[in-house]
Amino acid sequence: MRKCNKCKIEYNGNLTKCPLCQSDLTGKKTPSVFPQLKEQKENILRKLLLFIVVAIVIISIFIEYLVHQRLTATKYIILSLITLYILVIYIIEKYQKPIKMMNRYFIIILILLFIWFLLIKSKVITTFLIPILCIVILLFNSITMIVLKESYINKSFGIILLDCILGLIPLLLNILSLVTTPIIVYICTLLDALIFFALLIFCHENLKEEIEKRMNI
Amino acid sequence: MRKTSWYKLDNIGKFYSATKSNFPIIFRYSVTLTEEVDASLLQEALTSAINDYPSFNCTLNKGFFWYYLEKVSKPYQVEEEKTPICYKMYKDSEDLLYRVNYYKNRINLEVSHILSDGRGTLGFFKNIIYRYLNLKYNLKVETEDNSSIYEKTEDSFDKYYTGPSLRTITNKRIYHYRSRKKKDTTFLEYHISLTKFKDLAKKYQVTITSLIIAVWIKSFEKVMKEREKKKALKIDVPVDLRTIFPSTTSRNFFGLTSIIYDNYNLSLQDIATKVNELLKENTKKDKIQVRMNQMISLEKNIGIRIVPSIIKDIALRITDDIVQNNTTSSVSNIGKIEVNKKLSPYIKNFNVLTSTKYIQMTICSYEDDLSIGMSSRYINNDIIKNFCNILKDNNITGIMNINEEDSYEKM
Ligand SMILES: [Zn+2]
Repeated sequence: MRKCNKCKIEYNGNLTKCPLCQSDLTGKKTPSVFPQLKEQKENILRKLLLFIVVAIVIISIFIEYLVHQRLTATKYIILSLITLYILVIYIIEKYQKPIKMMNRYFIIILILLFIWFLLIKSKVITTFLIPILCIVILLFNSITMIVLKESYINKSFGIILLDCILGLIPLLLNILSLVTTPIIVYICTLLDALIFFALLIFCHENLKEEIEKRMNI
Repeated sequence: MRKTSWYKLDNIGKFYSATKSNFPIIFRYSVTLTEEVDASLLQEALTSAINDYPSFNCTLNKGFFWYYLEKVSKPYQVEEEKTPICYKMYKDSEDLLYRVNYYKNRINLEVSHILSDGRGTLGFFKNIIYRYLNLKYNLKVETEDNSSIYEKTEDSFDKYYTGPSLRTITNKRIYHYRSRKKKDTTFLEYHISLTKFKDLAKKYQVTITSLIIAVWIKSFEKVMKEREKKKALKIDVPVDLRTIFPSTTSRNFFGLTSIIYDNYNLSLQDIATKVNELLKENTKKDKIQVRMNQMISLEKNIGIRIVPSIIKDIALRITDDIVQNNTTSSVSNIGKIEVNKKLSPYIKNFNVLTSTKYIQMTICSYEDDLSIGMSSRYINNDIIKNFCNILKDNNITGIMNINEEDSYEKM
């Protein structure tokens, strides 16, 4: 043990000076009781990605403005880049929990689609993209439920329920007359209803518990 | 019927879960054994200990009004210590709220305050140690707890709440040590002789806790600037409510009492006497009951309960900042840790540490070892130096463990 002759304290570990009074320690070193940890590195990949996104945005604004004195194409570039950035970052952070990740991923895409719709107001999004995404979400969940059975239902019941609610969004869009050809919307709603009643009949215990714990007041 | 798979959080847990992203409160117990730790035996011990303490094996999930705890079947995967002490543990709703790791002769149990408090966790920690030592040395020592799982998971706050009490407000401005802070925390464990310290406390005619707090106050006084002495020093002292109410819960069940000191330049003896009186007075059952009711009344308030948790998170985070800013430091004494006589030959010492925003002290003792844990976010260690120097002046010196190598270089 090393000793500080001023503080009269003995130290374990690889110290040369007293951490309290900074005077030199004397005596033999003894191993520390704490491991020497490497400094946690910050995620450089994330920073690099962000920088690339920002750089492309600035450059495209610069070029388009210089050539045309307006910013139409840039708007789309920015939107696509931000969408891509969010998705990539999400994959980097959550890659170790695939099913959970997929489920959240769907929701993020859904939100992004809405933002796109608000910005460019194309009914292609509400007629095709959103309903198709909802069908994919519902199918993904049904298949996972069939394959993983109990364990998935018990663990992810909240998400399954949330997806069922999201599955009604296309119908809502249809009611608001934001859909041009509603066939995909109908398929989606039908699938949603089937899954919902299947849950109600086969898993009403889970349903009750899920509501109880989510709503505890 | 399916077994219950989730728990409501207790009062404190609700508060801490909302403020977790602000600052996660995590504390650590560690035990130093006489031999190196065997990872697979430790895992085996943990897996069976979890059966006795199921409320620890939980993840945190967000409900519409409050967070709640979801039970999971798989226990924590024991690993060699590779994260900083009391490192944040909640990344998403699949992460457990405790961590068990080992390094050389030490077993560490780190627990989020959302789950439990110091005394509540001690039973779990001892259970793990008992089972581990039984496996390692082929012993048959019974674990100590004889309360049922129901009693251990009880929300005792709820049980002993008697109704809202009025809040007492101190008007004094509270002193804070102003010095450069750093990103990581310095953790120190100062091991001194319990007998020697007990004798000193006897000399001052106060309890061990009172004397430590008095020395701590004096250490702060020495770094205070003259003009800062208009403000009051406020030391929070958690009180284990299990000593006051009949409860064996392993969840949060503590009250806070605080020592306010504004009459500067008193002698150590005078401070110690005053602290001793205040502690004795403030920990009387009726006083503690009032403080406890104050803490709980917030959660019981129907107006607060019906607010969605997303909004509550933000509101409680702001309140938390105010509360945190309203105290100088805290001193938490777990007290004497006792183990079965057959196991004591294998155990060298116990330690307890906590994460902090400022500077905090956590104390426990085992046999003749008094372990004073200090965690500090300040670059300079002057308060701790003062503390050790006052002890040295009273002929008490000991052994220090610090989680840094030559920290002065960072100044
Ligand atoms: Zn020194």
